[in-house]
Amino acid sequence: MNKSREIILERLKNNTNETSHTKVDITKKTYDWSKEEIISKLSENLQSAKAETYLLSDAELIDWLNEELPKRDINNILMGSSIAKQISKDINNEIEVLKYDDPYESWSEKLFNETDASITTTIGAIAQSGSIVLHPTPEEPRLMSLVPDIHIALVYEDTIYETFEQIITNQYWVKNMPTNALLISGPSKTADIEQVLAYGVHGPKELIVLILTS
Amino acid sequence: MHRTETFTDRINDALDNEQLHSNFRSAMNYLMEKRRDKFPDQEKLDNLRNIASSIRSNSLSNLAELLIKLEEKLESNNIKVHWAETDLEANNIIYQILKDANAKTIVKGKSMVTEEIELNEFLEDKDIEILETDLGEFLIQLANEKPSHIVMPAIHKSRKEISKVFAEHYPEFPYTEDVDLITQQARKILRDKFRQADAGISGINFAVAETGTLCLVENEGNGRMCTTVPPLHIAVTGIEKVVEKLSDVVPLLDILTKSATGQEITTYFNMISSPRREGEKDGPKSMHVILLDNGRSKIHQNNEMQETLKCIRCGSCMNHCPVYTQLGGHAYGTVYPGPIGITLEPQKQGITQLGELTSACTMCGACGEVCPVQIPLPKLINKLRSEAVEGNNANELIEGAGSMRKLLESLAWKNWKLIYSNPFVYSMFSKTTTTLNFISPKTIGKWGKYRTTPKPSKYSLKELANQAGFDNE
Ligand code: SF4
Repeated sequence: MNKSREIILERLKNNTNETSHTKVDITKKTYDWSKEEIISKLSENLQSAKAETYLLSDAELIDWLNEELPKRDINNILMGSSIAKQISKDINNEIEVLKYDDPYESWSEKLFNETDASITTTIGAIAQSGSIVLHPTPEEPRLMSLVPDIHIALVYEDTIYETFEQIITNQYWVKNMPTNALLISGPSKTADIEQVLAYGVHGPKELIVLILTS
Repeated sequence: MHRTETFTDRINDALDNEQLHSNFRSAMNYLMEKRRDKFPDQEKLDNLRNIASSIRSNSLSNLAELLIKLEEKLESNNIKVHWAETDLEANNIIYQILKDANAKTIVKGKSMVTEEIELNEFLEDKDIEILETDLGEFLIQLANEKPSHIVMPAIHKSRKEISKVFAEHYPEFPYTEDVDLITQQARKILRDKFRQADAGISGINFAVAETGTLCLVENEGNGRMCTTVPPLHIAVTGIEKVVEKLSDVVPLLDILTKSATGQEITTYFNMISSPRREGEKDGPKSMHVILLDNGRSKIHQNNEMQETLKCIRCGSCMNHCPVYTQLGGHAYGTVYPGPIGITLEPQKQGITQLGELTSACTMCGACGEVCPVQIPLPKLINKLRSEAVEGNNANELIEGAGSMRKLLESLAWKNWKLIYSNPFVYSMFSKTTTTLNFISPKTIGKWGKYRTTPKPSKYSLKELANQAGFDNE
């Protein structure tokens, strides 16, 4: 049926190289960082990639939003229904709450040109590399963390892992890989012109990570 | 690639270009320093290199099996898999997919493999608009040039040159040499393009067989745009990019970003395992993967040269190469320049075609020392050199082996061997050379053009040693 497939596989199988490679033991690395250390590592690393981080309690979230959004000229903010349910009655009524209820195609222009910011949950974070981890869902689709100029991400303190390896293993990723899994470690950036760093080339210009304590 | 001049011409041109030198020198210094800062501890680095190398070797020793598994997983995730033995076949498959979807405008993420198959030229010939969206690639596409580095494609261009090209194509924006402003102007132009594109094309950094996941490493977000916004996504990859397990990507990602740009991690690590699922509101509705051979399965058959395929395209070997730093990427005239280029390209295109590339190496060994997956590049380059002059094409796997043998040169080496392996002949030879030193040539070929021509001494080393009172033995 597929000739090229057969030719390629045949050639690859042809190599009877039996030399077994010394398998290196990829020992699982743990640092045994305390909760405080984990939070500070995550924050430091994110900040060094020009993300902002804030440590808040659940109850402080709404005040933070009401204070910070107007400061940043955010007139509207995109969010999933769960967050909307939680905060929309308390949020400053000058800020319009947008929801991603319809397929992208039906509102692409508004998403690209008229959406100031988004707020999403995460499934955790990685302290060692300073990454937040997202598994987008129908409620919080993929483009929420990519298209608006400002992305605000909520990270619950007990979902911060030391390493990428740990989050893959502890959350059983292999068994249930989502359509798209993402590590995000700062705002979009480039160094393509004379190695000068410039932010916000295609994705968000700002990444704000709110670490929520319970 | 279209090569009109010879390799020597291109080398001479590059050596005459002062601007090019300073662009490359400063860029390479910057990249080397950033990498060094990320690996302060040699022992830890060696350990990580061992791990990364063993993962890649393991992939290659089970390549057929892993590809079959990958195919099965991808198909069960609703991603259509295509196999292409040659560049032409890959281009035709991609064209057919686009045609069936009636796709006329394409956005593309940075991908060396699509450079390799010259996909842009192929599609443009068929009146399909294909736009590069990585900022560096976008700028050199405007300038109608090719990447000169596999990670930093526009490294050869100065900010001034870029500003000029940009202003020529987009006169509606005010002229600027400010990097932030150019970046924001490009953002504005490209955002509309992403939104309106009929299809997105990308490469792949790692393809995970265990889960059928395609991984992309990037900083800008254009890769995410190309793979999420348009209704159709086509990913193109060399067959060697497969890894067995999801956990394999952890150390590979770590060493890749540190080696390439000295980053702890890139802004985005994007893992895609299926097109838009029922109920989801964005993402492409259909996805295709092209598994490209284009000479790789042949390289795979030679156990020694197979190591070439471990490459994770970090660019570190070129950043540390003294020859690349002098010449820049374009002088090589191939898609992949630098140490990996002179190792890979002659194997793919044959020594008859590209064997001369292997001369662009001083055997300093730097590339082999920094390669994150421990490819013994100097050894492989040396092997290719000897294949080029000594190999026998009839039973060699490397195409064009022996094709660079020169009668005079091989005669000279035969004589050298004869002289140096026989004490009596040797002493006769050295006597003759020292006595008749006055008839030695005034200049020796191109090498002598810029150097004082050496003359055989009046006395041999042995005679001098005897005079100095050293024992005979
Ligand atoms: S050969 Fe090694 S150093 Fe060169 S690009 Fe490939 S992985 Fe990087």
